[in-house]
Amino acid sequence: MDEGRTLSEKMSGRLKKPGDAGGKRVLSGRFLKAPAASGRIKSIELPELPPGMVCITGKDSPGKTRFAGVPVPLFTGKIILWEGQPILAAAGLNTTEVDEWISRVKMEIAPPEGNAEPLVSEKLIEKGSTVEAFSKAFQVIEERIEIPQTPPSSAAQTVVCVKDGANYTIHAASSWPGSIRQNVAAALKTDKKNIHVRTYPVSPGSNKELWFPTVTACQAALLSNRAKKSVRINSTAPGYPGGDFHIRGAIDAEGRITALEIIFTLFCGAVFPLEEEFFERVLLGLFSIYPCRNYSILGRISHEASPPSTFGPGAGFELGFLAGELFASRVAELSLSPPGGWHRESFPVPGQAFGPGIVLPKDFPMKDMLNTALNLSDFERKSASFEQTRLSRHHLDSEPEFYRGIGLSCGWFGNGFLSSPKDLGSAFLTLTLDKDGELTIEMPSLNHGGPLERAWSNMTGEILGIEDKSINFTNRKIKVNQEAGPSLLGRNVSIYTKLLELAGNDLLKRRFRDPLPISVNRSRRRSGNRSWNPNLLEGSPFENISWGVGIVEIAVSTVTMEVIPTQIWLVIDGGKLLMPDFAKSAVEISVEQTLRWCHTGNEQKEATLVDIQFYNNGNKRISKDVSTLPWLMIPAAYLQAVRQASGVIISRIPVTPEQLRTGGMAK
Amino acid sequence: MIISFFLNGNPVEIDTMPHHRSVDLLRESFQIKSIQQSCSDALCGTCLILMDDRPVLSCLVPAFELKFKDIWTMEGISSKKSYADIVGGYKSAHVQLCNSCAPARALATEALLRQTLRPSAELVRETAESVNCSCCSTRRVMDAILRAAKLREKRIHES
Amino acid sequence: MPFYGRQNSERNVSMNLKYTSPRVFFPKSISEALERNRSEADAVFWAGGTHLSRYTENKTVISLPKNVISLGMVEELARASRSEHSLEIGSMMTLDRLAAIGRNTLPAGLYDAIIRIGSRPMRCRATIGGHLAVKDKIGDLRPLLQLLETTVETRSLKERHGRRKALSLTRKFPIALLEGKPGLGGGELICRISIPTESWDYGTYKKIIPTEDEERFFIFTALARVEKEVLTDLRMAFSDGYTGVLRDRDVEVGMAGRPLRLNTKELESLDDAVDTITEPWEKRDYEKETAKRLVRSFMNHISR
Repeated sequence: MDEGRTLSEKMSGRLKKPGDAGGKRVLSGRFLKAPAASGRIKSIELPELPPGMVCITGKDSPGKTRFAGVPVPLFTGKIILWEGQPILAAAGLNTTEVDEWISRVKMEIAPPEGNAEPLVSEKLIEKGSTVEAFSKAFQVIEERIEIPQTPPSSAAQTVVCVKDGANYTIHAASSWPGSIRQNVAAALKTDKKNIHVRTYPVSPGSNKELWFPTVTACQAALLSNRAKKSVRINSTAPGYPGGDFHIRGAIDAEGRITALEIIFTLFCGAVFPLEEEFFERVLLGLFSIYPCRNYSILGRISHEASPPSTFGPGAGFELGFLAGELFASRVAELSLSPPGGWHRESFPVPGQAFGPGIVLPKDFPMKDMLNTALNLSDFERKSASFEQTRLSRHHLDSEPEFYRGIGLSCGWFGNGFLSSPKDLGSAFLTLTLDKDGELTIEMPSLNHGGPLERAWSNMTGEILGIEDKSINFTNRKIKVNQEAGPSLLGRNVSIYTKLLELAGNDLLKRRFRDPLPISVNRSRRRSGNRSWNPNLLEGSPFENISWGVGIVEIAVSTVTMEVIPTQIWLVIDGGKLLMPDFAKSAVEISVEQTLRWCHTGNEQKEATLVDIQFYNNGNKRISKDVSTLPWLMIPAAYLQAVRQASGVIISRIPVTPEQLRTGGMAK
Repeated sequence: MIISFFLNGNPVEIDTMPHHRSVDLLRESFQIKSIQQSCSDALCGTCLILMDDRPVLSCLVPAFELKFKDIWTMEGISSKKSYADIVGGYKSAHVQLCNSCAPARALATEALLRQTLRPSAELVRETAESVNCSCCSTRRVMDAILRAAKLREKRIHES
Repeated sequence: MPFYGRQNSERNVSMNLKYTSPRVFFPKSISEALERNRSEADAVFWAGGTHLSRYTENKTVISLPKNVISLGMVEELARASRSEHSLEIGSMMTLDRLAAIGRNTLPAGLYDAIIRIGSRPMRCRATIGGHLAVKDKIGDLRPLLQLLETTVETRSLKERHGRRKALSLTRKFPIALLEGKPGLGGGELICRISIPTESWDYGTYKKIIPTEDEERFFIFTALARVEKEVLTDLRMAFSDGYTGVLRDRDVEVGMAGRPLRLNTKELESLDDAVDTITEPWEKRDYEKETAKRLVRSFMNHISR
């Protein structure tokens, strides 16, 4: 695969996007969206449809799409669930005409009946003897953090349903084509074999294309079915959930965490498919790496009348780790030990489980990684001097222009899913070597010339001694019964790389034994994770774990209270790096995005220096996700640094200048 | 309203509503697929076109503003030999672009290179920030732009 | 805000969303533009259109008034020149072209102010005239242009009783008069902006967004001349985009002639003055406190 050619095609606009599918005669679909966050639709009066235009409402759709058992409505019923919820969709050849027709729809909306209280579900998880541990505690330390929901994206995503007789081909950027095929077939009440899915690359580093392209695909397919023509429609990606965390910890005389009491609420909007997976990942993140055998956790999921949510970059880990690592840093600070030293001493030792009871891998690398990060950043010296500056500022005659701070955070990322629904866990691929020596790799979701495919191409080529240009990827021959789970959460990197390696070696063995063409299948089914007990939170929840240590140094302006991140050091264990340059670039992107999540409104003229070190990327180790770790490490380290510099206990991100001023950052 | 303008070097004419957004007009009537109507709010930059050599957001430009203008999109720019400089710059900087923003990034770079081959750091940053997409890091894009400028300078010297 | 009751699905659009075409006129001269405006009573002058275009929801057409007078072909409005004492800028000059004059050639702080407005593609469309003519918001450049003693030249037509031809009126006034009443009259067209190029020893421009709400911001801008460690001229202004350009000339005059660095008492009295100037921001503690600190920081900077 020629990288330059792909890039050239991409930049010229010639590389096809979902919106380019179907040609000139595709109808344009538009939505009429709910104008209020809640209410009852008393009546809708539809103007007469001009010739060639079609319209569908909630009455015309078979109900709800499902994601791992969780239903999501295609259109508003009588009750509006969030502002912007689709009430109806119309399609026609002329977009302006469709807009104009929609503008003439009349509707009567009444206020909702009764109190519009959010729907809250809760779960209590307990282990050990929390009460006893607190009664014997040397110190009790508390931490609180509030993380607001991220609003829906402003950028539109296009889905096209191309109709050809009884066949429907959905063109969409989606990480879960299996879900599209299944739900569109259900919406149209047709056989799955009539539904084809052509996927396009998803936004790198985010998991937002998990479920909503399926909803849009169903809406496009229903319009297409009614119009008997192909339909193109745009939708916007949902935002990410927020949370409110309150952690109380019992600490012994050595500064170790002996018990945790946590109450948290996740704000998920009106609808949040796969919320259980998200909830469990938040839970694991809260413990971070430090062993804790006594805990009582009350977790709530709140569904308010706001737009739906989708997975954030860590699918819940980013919220849990922020709260957990912030608490850990508070413990380190109040135990009066050097922060680096506290982390090192608090890591699990061989034979011990980490977090609530997760099996510690034999090659647990965190101590070495921590030492590397501390040395690179000169952390202990800087931390001590910044702390001293903070404590002595009351005696200064004049203020410096900036106060500085430095923070440290550790993190790990679970590659793949941990929940049990079988449609999430399965993965498969087929390698076919034909008579001309061409190799075809069939996988459910592709990245169309993206770096991971190039890496896979190189890897398979090396195993089989085939040139890159003779290797093709496809997802067109996927059989109906092979419905793989979504390609996210590092699943492609760790699981598919392994499958490809196994299939490649298998093919190599058969190559000189069997006649061509030869096909090799490899699949991975993980229906029900036997190695993980979700009730006791014990065992091995993930296929693979990536590890990381992050250090953030910042400066806070004493004039405007703006925060400027000056330097970041990251030490990451991502196993064997398939493409080191791409891995570094992917981490850099995550760093930029994470910083945008951490603070707002500052005018930073100089880019933050980012030092990325990959730990032990030996060839024998399994490849793992690296791009999610900055989301898990940077926010907590950033907040610690801001707290040190400002002397203000900030308990909300994004950090704003006003928060620091109100919090009393002054001399 | 009949509007005449130059599109990728060719004179064109269209009878359209004057308040039609240019992004839709160009996509629908002239099959310009390198631009996209994504946010319609001047946020994303994926509808970038060159209007009289300046980068502008076609979602903010009503059709009547195209009148007598010289419009370039990536369909036209990528057919020139000098396009290789932009691809070369991005490739050597290892920038991984997504499908949505790649043409707009190339166009913003071309606009800058038409203006100057020795851009200031500020101008390079502004060019990188003309497109708002989370697929790549601003620092790498800045590096790519500078590399593209060097390649263009070399090409001009050699010719 | 919840919206209940009977309604058409199209709402919250400031101008009626017209699916029927507006009429667009392309005058080639200022007098032709004014004449067209006189004959089409509800016509609107169209400069870069960035303000108008952004406030249409995600539709294929942009909400426009019935009659639009595009100024893009009026060459005399796009000209710029530099005299010994001022920059003379046609109102159709884009902010991008203005910035291209260069940080060192533009008056102190102006380049920084321009490049904080939108992205570069936005500035390639937005014009200085349009920026100043927007009525529901004070443009980000206004506070600094006021300190620089910028003047605005407008033209309009005045009907004469019993005569077919209207009288052409030219008005030249300080930019501060754009604010409040009479402001820019109906049918009055900003033609030229004249920015004095007197040199300043120090200039600063700072725009701060204190919260997650990007619409809440405030601007501090100041200019100073210092001779032999004596502050000879000081100008400073604040703006939050809505409550006017806040400035007190008496305070500025009172500061002239003071030796630098200011003593504690002088700084405290300056703090009090800033408190008074920013009185309209009564409940915004962050803005008020930061305004004082910015002024102190500026005074500190010019005392080095």
